[in-house]
Amino acid sequence: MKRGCTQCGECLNVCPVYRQFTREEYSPKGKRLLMEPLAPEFGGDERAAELNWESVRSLARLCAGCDRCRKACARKLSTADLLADVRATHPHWTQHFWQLWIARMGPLWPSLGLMATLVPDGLTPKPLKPLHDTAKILADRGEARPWGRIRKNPESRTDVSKPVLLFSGCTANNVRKKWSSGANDLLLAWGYELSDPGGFVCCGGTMHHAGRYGAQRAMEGQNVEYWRKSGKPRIAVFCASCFHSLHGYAGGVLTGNEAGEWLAALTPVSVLLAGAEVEHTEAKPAAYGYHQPCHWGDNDNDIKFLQRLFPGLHKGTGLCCGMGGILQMSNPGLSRRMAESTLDGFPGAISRIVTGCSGCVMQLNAAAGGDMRIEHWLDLVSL
Amino acid sequence: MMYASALTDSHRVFLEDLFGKDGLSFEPAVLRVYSSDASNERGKIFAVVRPADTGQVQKFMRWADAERVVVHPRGRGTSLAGGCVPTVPGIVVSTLGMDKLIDISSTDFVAEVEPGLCTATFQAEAEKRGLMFPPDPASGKATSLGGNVCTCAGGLRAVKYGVTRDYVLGCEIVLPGGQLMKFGGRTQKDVVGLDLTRFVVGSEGTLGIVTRLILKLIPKPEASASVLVGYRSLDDALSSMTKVFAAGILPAAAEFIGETCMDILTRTGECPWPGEVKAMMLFQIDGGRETIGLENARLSRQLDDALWKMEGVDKEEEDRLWSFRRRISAASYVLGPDRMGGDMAVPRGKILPAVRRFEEIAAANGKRLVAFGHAGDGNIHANLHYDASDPDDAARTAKTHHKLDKAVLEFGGSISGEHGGGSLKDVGRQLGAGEHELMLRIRKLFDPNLILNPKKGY
Repeated sequence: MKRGCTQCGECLNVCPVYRQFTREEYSPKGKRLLMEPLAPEFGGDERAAELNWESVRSLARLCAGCDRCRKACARKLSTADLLADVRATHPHWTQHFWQLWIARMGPLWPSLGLMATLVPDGLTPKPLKPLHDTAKILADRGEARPWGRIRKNPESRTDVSKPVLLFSGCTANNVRKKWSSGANDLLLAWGYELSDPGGFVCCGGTMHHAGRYGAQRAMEGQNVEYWRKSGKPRIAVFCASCFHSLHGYAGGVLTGNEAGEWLAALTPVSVLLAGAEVEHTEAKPAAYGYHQPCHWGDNDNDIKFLQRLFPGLHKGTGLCCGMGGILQMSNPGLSRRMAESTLDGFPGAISRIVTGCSGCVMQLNAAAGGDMRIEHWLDLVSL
Repeated sequence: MMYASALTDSHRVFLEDLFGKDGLSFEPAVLRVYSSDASNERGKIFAVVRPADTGQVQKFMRWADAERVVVHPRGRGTSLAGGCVPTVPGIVVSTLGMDKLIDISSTDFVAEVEPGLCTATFQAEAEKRGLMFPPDPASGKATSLGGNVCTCAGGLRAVKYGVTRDYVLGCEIVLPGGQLMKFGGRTQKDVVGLDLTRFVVGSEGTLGIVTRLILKLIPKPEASASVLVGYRSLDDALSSMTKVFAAGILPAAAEFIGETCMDILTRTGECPWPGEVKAMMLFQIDGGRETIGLENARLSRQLDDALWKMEGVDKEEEDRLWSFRRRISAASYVLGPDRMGGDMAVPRGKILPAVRRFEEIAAANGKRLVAFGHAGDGNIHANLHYDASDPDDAARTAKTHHKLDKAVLEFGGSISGEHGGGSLKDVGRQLGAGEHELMLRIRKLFDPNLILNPKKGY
């Protein structure tokens, strides 16, 4: 039996949901008090629990899956994982719909986005506005003008001997194909040999948050099998959330030596583009910000890469953008508030923000007003 | 004392009118969260309220006193001594809705804050202005200033800078009955009347609800340096510390790490020290940028009897040294998945005999004592790990813990240096009968109907 929360409170300051409310019941430690008695892993038993899932559901599910609480926790407990476990044993139509949305409806996302842009804002009821804004972002907003042209420094020594499979993730595959093609072009220019990534499917991370473990395992199995068949090449990733989820395969679907091989193969695209030199274009704004995706954790190479290319990058003071988990569907209002807080964490002079997570780009753009734009860094560099 | 045993309909209407939907909850899931704290003990509550200002607290306390409704004030619920546990069913007052930094003055060296402000957030704000709020409980990221004041929290820097009581210049509290009291002020010196501010500090929420604090700040030292020093035994480590103090050096922090902790660190992660190192001291000094090197050299000269030494002179290097100290708490779980913690304090010269005595008591009950802590001020963290699902282990651990509390008094110590009596400590074994009685009479002057935190503190 796993030991649960000690109620030490170290998770409060790192939790973006707690930050919105500053109430203990919205903190990870509060949610754990409610969910651990339902989780057999922690010695819980719902039949004997004083409060069942229905009584605690509305509070407990307010989690964006950012996993910051795990890092802060002395016992390394993840409230997102606990919520996923409890959800897995308490299926709800929203979780089923989420699975459909991710696993089956991806090809329809651009059309839905286009339709959403045709609906005037004034016609959308207020509670549905966050969803309407998110739907509009699914439509491609056209080419961003790059801030810099980059090339590999001829002196730089990068190991290009291993072939590379590019893992693009659902957002890029369905609505931002230019990120995949951009990453592809850059990796080729650096001299990497690229294999066909066509056998990859969704990383499964969002299925985990939804407690759809069957779907998650199927996706993980398919991705691992494709990697094996491809000769266990490097896997290049440009989305922090995909990376986080793929990283979690080790110790789960993969064990032993192969887990080690998998972790060694997983590489952020920004790491592979070592030794980049840049020539700025006139499109580079005077001031710009960087939103740190929660899911890079302590190993955010993107910011190091971008600071070299675009000095003066201003890091925001916000926490999570609110995109993670299935919060966007379970509580779109809270998810939106978190995005707005994240944007408020940048000085007023900044209207261009760059990040390295597909989900953060979509979420923050949906919340951004005026001429504020949030770009994936792949939009801002070209050859 | 007769207390309200439930809320009536008219009670509920009063609370709804006063706090509105956002400042009040009767929801069972919410009440569950506020019915325990980091002691993991649990009580029963009728409601939780979240005042937004002092006026609401006054109206609430007038009502609660008249209706004999028990009140449990609460910060962030991190008490290890059960200080937030509702010992008698009542209403929890969460102060987290009052978390403003009202004023911070670089000329007065004073800050005025509301009680719900997070300690670490406040410290960061002070540092941005070149100021420092020295009390630094290890749990500062998790705690509120109101909670720190009510328990007189200590921390690593207490050896040089003192504890929370040394930095509270004044406070405002609301008494049962609703009267607002203002003690102290913004002056560094004030000897008019009784120092009732000091009554409030460490009173564990038994005298009133704190609604405003006036805190003393000092200039932030420009630089600091740390040194981690290894010895053959805790005996050698502590005698080395004695040399440091005898040489007239007052470190900002002086932490000891006992033999069992060293075993735990070695078993759970990377350790740069050689195998013969069985105990360690970790010193930090601070001061001016130009003199820190000289002070560091002065400290090092007193540590010439060490087996091994590692120095760090800026934040990154110091963090590496402190990471070993910080690892102890989490790593100790290798000895057992559950923990019973002690925070005894003894006179500085009694640390070694006290630790050895504690170890003997633990060993006699088949337990290993995890001893580390603030050697500079004699505060020993004496933790016992066990498996709560094993009744024999749990019973032996509880027995050991109980005996440690008794043993600390043999050394002229205190059963709690930092955490407070809460609802778990039997403070009567330390306090003299007459002194304890006087405290209870004073308590009754503030709270005649004893509605505040009954059965807690003292």
